Amino acid sequence: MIPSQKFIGESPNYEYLNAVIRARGTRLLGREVFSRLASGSLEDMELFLLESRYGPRYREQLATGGGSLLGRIENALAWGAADILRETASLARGESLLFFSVILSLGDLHNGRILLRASPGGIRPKNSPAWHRYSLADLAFYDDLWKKSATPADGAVRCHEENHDFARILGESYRVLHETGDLFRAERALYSGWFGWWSERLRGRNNENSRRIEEYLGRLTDLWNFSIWLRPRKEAVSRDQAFLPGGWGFSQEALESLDDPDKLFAGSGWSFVPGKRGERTRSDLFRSFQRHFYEWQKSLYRQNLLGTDVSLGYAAQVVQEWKNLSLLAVGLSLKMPAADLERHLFLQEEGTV
Amino acid sequence: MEKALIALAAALAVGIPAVATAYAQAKIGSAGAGTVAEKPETGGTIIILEAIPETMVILGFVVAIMLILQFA
Amino acid sequence: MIRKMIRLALWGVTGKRREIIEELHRLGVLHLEQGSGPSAGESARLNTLRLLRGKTLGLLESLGWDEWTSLSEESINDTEKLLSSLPADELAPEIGKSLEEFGKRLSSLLDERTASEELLLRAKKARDILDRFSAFFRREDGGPQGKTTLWLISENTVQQALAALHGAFSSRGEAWDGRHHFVPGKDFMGVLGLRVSPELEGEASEILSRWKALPWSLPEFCSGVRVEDALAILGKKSETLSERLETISGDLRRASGEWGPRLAALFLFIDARTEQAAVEARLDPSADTFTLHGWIPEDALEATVSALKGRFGDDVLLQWRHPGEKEWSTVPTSLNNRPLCAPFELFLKLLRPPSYSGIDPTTAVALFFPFFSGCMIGDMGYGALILLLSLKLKKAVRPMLRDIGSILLSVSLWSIVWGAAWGEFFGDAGHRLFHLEPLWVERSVSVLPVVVFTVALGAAHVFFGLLLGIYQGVRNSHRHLWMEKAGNLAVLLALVAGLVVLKAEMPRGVFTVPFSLLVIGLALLIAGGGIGGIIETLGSIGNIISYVRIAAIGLSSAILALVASKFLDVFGLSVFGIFLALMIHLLNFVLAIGGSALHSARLHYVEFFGKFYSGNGKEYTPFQRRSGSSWKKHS
Repeated sequence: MIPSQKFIGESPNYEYLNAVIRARGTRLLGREVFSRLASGSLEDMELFLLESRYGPRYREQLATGGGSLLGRIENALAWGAADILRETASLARGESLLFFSVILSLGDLHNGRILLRASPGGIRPKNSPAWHRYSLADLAFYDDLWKKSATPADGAVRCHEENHDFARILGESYRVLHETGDLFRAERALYSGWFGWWSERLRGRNNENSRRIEEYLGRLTDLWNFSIWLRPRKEAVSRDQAFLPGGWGFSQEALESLDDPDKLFAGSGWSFVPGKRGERTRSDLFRSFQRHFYEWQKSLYRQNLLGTDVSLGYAAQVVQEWKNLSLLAVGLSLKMPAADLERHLFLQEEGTV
Repeated sequence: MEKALIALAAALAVGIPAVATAYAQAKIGSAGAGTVAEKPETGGTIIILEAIPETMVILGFVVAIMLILQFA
Repeated sequence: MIRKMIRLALWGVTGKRREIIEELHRLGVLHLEQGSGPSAGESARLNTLRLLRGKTLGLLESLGWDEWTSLSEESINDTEKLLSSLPADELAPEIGKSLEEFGKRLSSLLDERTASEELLLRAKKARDILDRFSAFFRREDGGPQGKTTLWLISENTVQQALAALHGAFSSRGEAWDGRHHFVPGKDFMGVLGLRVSPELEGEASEILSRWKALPWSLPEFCSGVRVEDALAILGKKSETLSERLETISGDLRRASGEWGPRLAALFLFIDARTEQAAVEARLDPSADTFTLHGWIPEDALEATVSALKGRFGDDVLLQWRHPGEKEWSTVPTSLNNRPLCAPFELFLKLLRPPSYSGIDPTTAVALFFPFFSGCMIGDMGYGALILLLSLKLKKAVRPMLRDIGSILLSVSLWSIVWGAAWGEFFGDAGHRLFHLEPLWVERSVSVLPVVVFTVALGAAHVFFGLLLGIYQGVRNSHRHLWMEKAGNLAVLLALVAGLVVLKAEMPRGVFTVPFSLLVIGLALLIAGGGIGGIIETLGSIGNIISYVRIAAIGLSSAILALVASKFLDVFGLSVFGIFLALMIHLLNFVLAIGGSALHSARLHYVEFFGKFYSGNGKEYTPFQRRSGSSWKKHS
């Protein structure tokens, strides 16, 4: 059930959509639920899922899935989250649908990255990876690429057969990978193609909501740029070429010239303070920044109640809930201690609402 | 001429609140439909919220009737 | 009326707990109240059952079966009889095993369907590309038999690649014409078809790779097939796949028809067992006896007690009592009205139920709703039509439609009464044809009396609401509530009295009555609700004026009906004129039903209920088996 894009021409229905979303938002799982699950077992989680929003998908797994308990749970979670997002998107009309599609399309971006990363060696498990199933492109397309297109060249040719904008972007990235053998450049091609495609689709709109979406895309660009910026200086040549234009807070100049994260963030507009959580490594710092970005998205849920903010905030929470639950399932199957598990989840800070 | 003006005044007394009520009810109604679809138990509250702007047009109607009965 | 409830306590022998719980579930009248969570030992059985229930429902959903309403009680009972004979411990594994078998068969069918669909899609894409080369494949070029390959290449480089290929062909003395064909596609990419002799093959692909062309290959199931011959094979493959898909859907449909009802009955059985196990899991299995508490309607007590005593004799001990005043907030609410009023309970379905000690407004709604609606419609002709409609609806199968039929019946009667008062029968058609005269006033002409009447009606309705509020406050010893309502009522009465004194030009001395009322009212208001109370009173004045809508909607309905007759005046008794008049009447009829019902309901929900109704009751949900159609509420 991919939300039909044919309704994009209609007038937006933020009031209706946001009312539905805010009502559904009460079913998002709170911190205490995660704590309870973390201190239980995988079997407890199974019973919990049966009664939750993921119930219908878990029942489907029970009936036809076979496989291991963990496999069933992971599948049900991925499908469940996708159902929630797609079902919500199918209620949107006009501009609200277009902007919601940006969120769904992030699934395409993630899936494309998974495919590119699995490509060069050509060795991959038979079972499909954990796709972001809420993507705009059909899941069969990704499955087919995974199963039948072992090399980047195969992938590029397969993408050409598809009649979807994202397939064109992915095909382009596959070609880059085929021609250069450089995964990093292929990924950059994917990102820049994706951002370019969306800025093309959003062109000509100028209102509060479109500005918010632009800000969202800009902040996403910042996230990518920051991950490049964190790379060691000796990769400087490829690094400077890798920054994407159109960031929200970091200027191209700052990215290229500054070395100190404090300085980078100081004039950027991001309220993120590097090192505040005691991050030591680059990956810690990046994770902290990702978390900050997530907190920002979540805060939108309570901002403009008659605009696209609510969708952005809600979708971020749904995706995060899925990731948290998946992580929890894996942790429980490894019998990790509850406290360790909880530390790895992105949860509501204690004491905040 | 005077009658025409009174009629116009009465029409405006109903018309303007009607437009305003329609605008407000459209927004509230569409949000209300969304909420009730998810949480039927909020039905009562939604009806009350939906009914609030309607008072404007009722008052407008009373004013219009008064205008016509008093002056026409 | 709110049904009287009894607190029932049941002590039973632990050995018989499963049977007792089963019997309670079958009787389906006890609203259970249980505290603590499941104990470890018993919850294992509960969890197995919950998983089994999920699995059965999952199978039904995967089958796409959804005909719960057609499920017969007989098949449910048969399943129950059949499975009840199995020993309790063997039940879950036995059912689990057979479900496993069925699930495997189902999933292999579903997997095959997905795989076939994917292959079909793949074949279609390949055919789309090959179709564009069919002429090229057929072309005779006179050269030696060669191998055809297809390449994805950029439109910008294709010419250079072709030139390089041309060079290679000529240097080997091979014919060039007719051996290549380029089809441009989207995004400046295109597909190049090339036929080369085996000797040139290596060189050609090297040249093409240099120009960044990517080889296109046939789908896996065509491996070893020449590209030229692939179209026919793909066509055949697509046909077989489509046929296979049809067979699979046929199989699935058959399986759904055959297995759906059985699985559904099984689901309901497991569901009932799960619900019972959930109750059982909360009991302490180590003690000799167990206790269950709950609420039961007074009218069902006797039957329940004799059923339990009859089956279990001295193994159960029952005790019951009326709820104390302090317990009122925990007692569930169940409504029970006379058949004439019961359909109007529909209006309360949108709200949370009234509290046990509260007031069930159904009777008041049954009285006022049709009265208001009828006043708005106020046309004997329309009333008669609604009467016919309601009689038809009362024969409907769905209970809700029957309720709507009963409501419409009272609306139609009041419409006829009010139609006589306003002298309307399809607008002024009654007057024109039968010289019908209004019993009271013609509402399209004398507006003011109707407006005044509706405001008076509103005042009466709101006062009644306030009186109910006072009664409720006093009954629940809620001092602030009754004081505020009484103050509100006193101030409103003072205003009415003041108006009467002014209009009737009574001596000044009489003013002391409204004045003292006002003072008393304000004092009560401030004591009961503070500043909020005063604002509430202002709101009440707005509420009373709100009843003007009865006049307003009636007026517009009457005028629209007049317009219909006017069409006949203008166009004469022509087909066109009659058609237009009928259309206007139809529009007016629909508006009359919709508008009057909506506004009448609104007057109840907002203006009337606002004065006394507090929907903070607990719904009465007896411990009982779900019927076929109601399971969905749960999932």
